[in-house]
Amino acid sequence: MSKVRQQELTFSHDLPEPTPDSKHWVIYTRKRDGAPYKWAGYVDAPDVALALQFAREHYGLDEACIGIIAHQHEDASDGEYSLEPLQPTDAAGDDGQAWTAFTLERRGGNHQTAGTVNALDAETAIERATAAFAGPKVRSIRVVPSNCIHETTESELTIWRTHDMTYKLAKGYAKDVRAKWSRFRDEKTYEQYRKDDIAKHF
Amino acid sequence: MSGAANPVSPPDITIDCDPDKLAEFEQRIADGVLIEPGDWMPEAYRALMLRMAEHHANSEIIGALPEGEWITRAPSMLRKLALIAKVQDEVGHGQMLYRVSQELGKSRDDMLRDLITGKTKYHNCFNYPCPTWGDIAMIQWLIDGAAIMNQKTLADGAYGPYVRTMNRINMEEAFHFKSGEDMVLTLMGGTKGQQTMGQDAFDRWWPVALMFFGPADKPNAEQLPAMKWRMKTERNTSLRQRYVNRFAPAAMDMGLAIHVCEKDADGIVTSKKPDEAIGLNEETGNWNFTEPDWDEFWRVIRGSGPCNAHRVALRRFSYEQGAWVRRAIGTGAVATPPAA
Amino acid sequence: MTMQDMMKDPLANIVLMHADDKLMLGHMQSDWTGLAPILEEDIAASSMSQDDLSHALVLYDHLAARFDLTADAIAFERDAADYRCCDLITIPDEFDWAIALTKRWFVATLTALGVDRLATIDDEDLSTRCKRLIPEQAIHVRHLSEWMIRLGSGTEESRSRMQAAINTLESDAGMMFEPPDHSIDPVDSFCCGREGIFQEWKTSCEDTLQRAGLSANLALPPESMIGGRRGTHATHFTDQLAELTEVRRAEPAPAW
Repeated sequence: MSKVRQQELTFSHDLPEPTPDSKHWVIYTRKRDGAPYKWAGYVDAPDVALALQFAREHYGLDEACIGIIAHQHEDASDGEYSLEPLQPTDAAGDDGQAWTAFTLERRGGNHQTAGTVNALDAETAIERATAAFAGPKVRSIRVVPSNCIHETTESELTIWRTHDMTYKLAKGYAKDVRAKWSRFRDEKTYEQYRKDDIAKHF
Repeated sequence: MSGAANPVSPPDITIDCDPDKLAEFEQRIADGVLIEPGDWMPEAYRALMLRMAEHHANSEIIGALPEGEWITRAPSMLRKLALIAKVQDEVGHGQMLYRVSQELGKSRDDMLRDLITGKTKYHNCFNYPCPTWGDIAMIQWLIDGAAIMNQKTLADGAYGPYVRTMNRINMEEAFHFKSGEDMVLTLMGGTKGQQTMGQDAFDRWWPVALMFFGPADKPNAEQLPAMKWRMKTERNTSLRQRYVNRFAPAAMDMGLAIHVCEKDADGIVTSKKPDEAIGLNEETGNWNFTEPDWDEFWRVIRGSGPCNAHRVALRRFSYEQGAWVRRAIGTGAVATPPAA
Repeated sequence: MTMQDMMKDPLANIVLMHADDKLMLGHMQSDWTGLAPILEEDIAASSMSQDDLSHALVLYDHLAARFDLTADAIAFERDAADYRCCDLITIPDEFDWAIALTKRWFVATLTALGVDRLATIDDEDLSTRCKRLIPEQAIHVRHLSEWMIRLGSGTEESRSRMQAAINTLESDAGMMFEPPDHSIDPVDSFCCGREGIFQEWKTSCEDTLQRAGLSANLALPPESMIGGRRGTHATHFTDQLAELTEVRRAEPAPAW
């Protein structure tokens, strides 16, 4: 532990001036080429370059990742959440700018990219996206103007690292934990504990 | 780890709003629809949700401090990597939860300033010391184990951004818990010195883990806003009982003894005796246990714990040290990336 | 095969030079986890500390296989004089982000050049490992360079803090080019000659500094100057090593 962490700190001065919040970005990651981008989280950053940089080193390293997109929170328009799967509408037309559509399949789930539609405004974009992408599971649609979506570029494809990262995944410990439990518990008791673990607790 | 269980009873709140809108809002919650930031909500709901998310966010970033003390001393490359990743996760959870709170109307900077000036609180368990490596193992096993159980119930809540964040966090907590279990098993299956280190740390953290879920809820908890609006979905006592049912036998099988301890003002155990209450009640199927010292709990919450002052001071130090960097990027100056 | 066989091997010394730099850099930076100026950058810097330690591990694993040792033994159980890292890395930063960032950027820029060269070496295991490190090291150099530019061109306050950090570290940075072993010909000491790699490093650094509006006096010290790479370490290195190995030394055990 560094000395600074150990020292007894006292403060007699005022706090520095407050800094206002910077921009609110929504981050999506994709696992492999051709896979949809799925919602991963948020970052606060003053510009898109830093937003993507932060996203790479956080959400890009949660699980295998080859690409990241980001948009400002204020650029998204969400349709209502429906308790039943959305029925495809017959909204047609392709006038207006391009919108990227995201679908949401379950309560508390993550939005993921579905494709693009053209529309003059967000409301029409949601209707047209519902016509195009409402499947048997989709409960809600989000649209974002495609020109507000920023993506990591070709030259930045290395996001997930090649070295062993199982140290930060629960499954990286499964074998060792089982082997170590065998000193204390018989196979049957352990197996019951493990199953119970997953079913009821974790 | 997490400090989502807000141990302070919610203040008396008045729900002063349009009864028709309130009825519709409560029906939506009952139907299982998630409430989103743009939806109509009672002001009391917004205030309570902000309070809960902010407390949770504070707990994550204060929670990074005790374990952070041992990163530079971790005893192998694997443990060092895992501990950095674990503490990093806490910071990441804090960042996401501050964002959820920001959506409810308070800036990140205001929340950080309230935290370091003592206006807002964080989870009590981070006010205890980590004198050995054994504490790192026990925190990850016992406290993260408690956090997952709690957060599983919170992920079943009603506020959309919080629920999504809980789902994400719970995936990472599974790593914390497994790595903690691995460390505890390693200590208890290791040398005499390692076993002693494990037992001593267990004595320090077992009562803290029991307190983790907070004191018993009021008898009519289900009718009060926190549960009625699905901010929490299970009673503290029920969570604590499930926790003991699971962890007490596991600890005992590993060779850990469950003690009732007395601690000094620094959080160090001064005397201990076996917890005679511990054991399976065949009738109920639940494990009996001795309640933690709730007087100590309230004392620590009110600021007199072994590490309260130190934790807040270190956060303040970090806030002040980094102010110039935040000012520099706040200007919006656009950097030109260097040529590859 | 023993630790001492490894220490007598010229190529092993070159590998250790980069691996030990990464070990100590990851060790020092990881102390910031939870305390960095911005939560998002705290997370990013922590990912990079993990990379640094993982990269050290990738290289230690190579040496462990070659000399019948374990990576943990190489990382934790050598005498201080057998660590080949440059003492630039263990200069205390006292939680000054400008010092920490500048130091990481100096070292990462050199490591990028180092792994490029090690990837061309006639040893399949080593070159394969190093090839995998190249894109990851490039991520670091890019991230750190962007921050140098951002803070150099941010506010007057941030520019002067960054310049002060460079002034504090620039003379020690040259010691990264100390040949890691007496027996190594300086022409071979970085697989291609220290002069050449120094010039490349300097050019790369100066390009970023220019964009950042900062400047540094980067010079190659005489070869006779002895420092950490040849085992004569500063007290701040031995202090850090003591901390790194504290738990492990306190209780010798088959597993932690």
